Amino acid sequence: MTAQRLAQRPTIKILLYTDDPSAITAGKNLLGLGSMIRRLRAHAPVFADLSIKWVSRSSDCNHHADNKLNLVMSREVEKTGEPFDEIWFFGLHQANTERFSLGAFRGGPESELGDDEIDAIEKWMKVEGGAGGGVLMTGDHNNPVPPNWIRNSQGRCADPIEAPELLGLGRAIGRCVPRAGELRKWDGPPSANAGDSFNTLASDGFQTDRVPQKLIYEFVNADGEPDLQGKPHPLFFYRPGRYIDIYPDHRHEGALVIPDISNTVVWPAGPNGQPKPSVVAFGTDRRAGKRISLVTTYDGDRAGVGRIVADSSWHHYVNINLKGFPHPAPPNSDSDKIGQFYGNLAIWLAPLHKRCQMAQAMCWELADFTLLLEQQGDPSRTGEAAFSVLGRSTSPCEIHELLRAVRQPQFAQRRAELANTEQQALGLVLDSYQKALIRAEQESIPNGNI
Amino acid sequence: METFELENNVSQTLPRASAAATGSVSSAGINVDSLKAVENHSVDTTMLENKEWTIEIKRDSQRGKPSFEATLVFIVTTQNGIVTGQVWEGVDSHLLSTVTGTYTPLPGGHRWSMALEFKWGDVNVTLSGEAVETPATVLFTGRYSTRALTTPKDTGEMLDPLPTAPGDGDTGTGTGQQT
Repeated sequence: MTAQRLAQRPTIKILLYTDDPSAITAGKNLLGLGSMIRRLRAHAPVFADLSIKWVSRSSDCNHHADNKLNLVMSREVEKTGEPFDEIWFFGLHQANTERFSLGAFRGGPESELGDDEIDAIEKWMKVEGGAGGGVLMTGDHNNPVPPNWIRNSQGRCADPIEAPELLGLGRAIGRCVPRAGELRKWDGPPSANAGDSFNTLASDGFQTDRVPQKLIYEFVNADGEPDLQGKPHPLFFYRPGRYIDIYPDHRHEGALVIPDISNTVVWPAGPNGQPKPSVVAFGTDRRAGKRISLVTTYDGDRAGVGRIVADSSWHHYVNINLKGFPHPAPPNSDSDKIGQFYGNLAIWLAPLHKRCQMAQAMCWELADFTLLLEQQGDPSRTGEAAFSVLGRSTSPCEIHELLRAVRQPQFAQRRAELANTEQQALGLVLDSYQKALIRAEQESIPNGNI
Repeated sequence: METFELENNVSQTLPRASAAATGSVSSAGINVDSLKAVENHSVDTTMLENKEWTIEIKRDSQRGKPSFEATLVFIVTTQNGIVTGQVWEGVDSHLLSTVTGTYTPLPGGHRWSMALEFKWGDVNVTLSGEAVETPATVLFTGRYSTRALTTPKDTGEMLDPLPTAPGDGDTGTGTGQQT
């Protein structure tokens, strides 16, 4: 068995799910995702391939809800044998409406997720063995209720309020996604009106311009929970010791909320406690000068469910807001930092078992490489050399997440418990991989040919 | 290996601007006075409204000419169907000029005819088309044409030299939305 075979990289499969095929496209139009997709590809992980698929719930103006989420998910498994690893939600429609149209009143009677869909995604987010899928939940500000609104009165996605005035953009496909839907405020202010909007425009210019907003971090601990002694969240890792400190801006962002997580059926606990969602980045509302939440994370690893990132607006991902940041761009530019954020998202949201496969690929490749340096037998020096290689080739977020994955049980037997640093630990893991490589090479050579 | 797939055949479903509905984009420009009379709809047009439009300009392909695209931001006020304001190049935030025009309702209550006129470098630009209001956003689809300025431009309106601008006789599309 060769190292190349052993180091086979997994593929992270991302579904970009929208509900408006003529607005939030995968192309070049103002609300399209084309620019984000190009940047994501350019910042793809080193130890995994990316597969990105864009699907609209309604294929076109003649087909309403022909791509319900449960069908899209099951079709993917039938077609490829593998489920999606992540679903990134980019919804535009607010709610169920009387008749389907992509004209003035966009949406239709099946704009909101049905029970079959919610059941399917709930199951997918909680697969045994660390395979629970990751979710990016976006939306935008809240707008007046569509005049042809139909109140959803049945099932798991029944409306909790009778007569809302404002409903969120993206609410129709976002609100009832387990856990993730609870991280956004889908009714009431903020709206697009100057009086109650969340305006993060960084200058007197526009969202199209070259001036991004500045991020304010919440420092977090290793579990992603607030800790003044911690660091910015791995999503914002850029270069060693440096962080992604800017973000696309927008005149009317949506709002994030931290929900009540006392229901442990919805927000489960694991042997090491109950993971909590936490805001990890803030922006500044120019109107009131107040901090507003931009990014919330939930690390479900400890509870056996998928990770979640909630964002205050899909404007942080669409072409109109990326116009001022030409791509490709040199390191340290705002454009490169934004691209790295998308790459970090793909890694961070990957299911635990995928991150473990990536870590395994990383270990085999590093073991093979450091073997050539003739340092085998000295785990400390092997670890040092491996870290040096990683630092030159791999993003800090990917290194961080894969070294965390190396702490999983399947790696633990290869790792000395007394290692003081991650470098030492990696060296010990690589040492065992190198021994396995040497054994495999020896077994492949027929007797008598030595 | 990276893979990318589009599951759907996406069709552009936004209504196309009809010349009859949106007024002329000929070199004659916009006759604001004639459009002031279009107020026989149920939609209230008297209220003063501030709007920001982001509109992408794309020149029709012409043999021998490079492609030309730009993102314009219109900061305008609308009252009684009359539009006034400013237009900026949206990426570098260059002020191009003042804008005048019309914004008048079309039958149905959620469709509007919008026509804007402004200066851009050495040309006058007339942009007209149809805006469709949806609960989620207001979308614009239209066309533009240019003609050389007949009088020397007022250089006082320009903050910086323009890196790019359309040429005389150019035509193309303008699509975008209220932002």
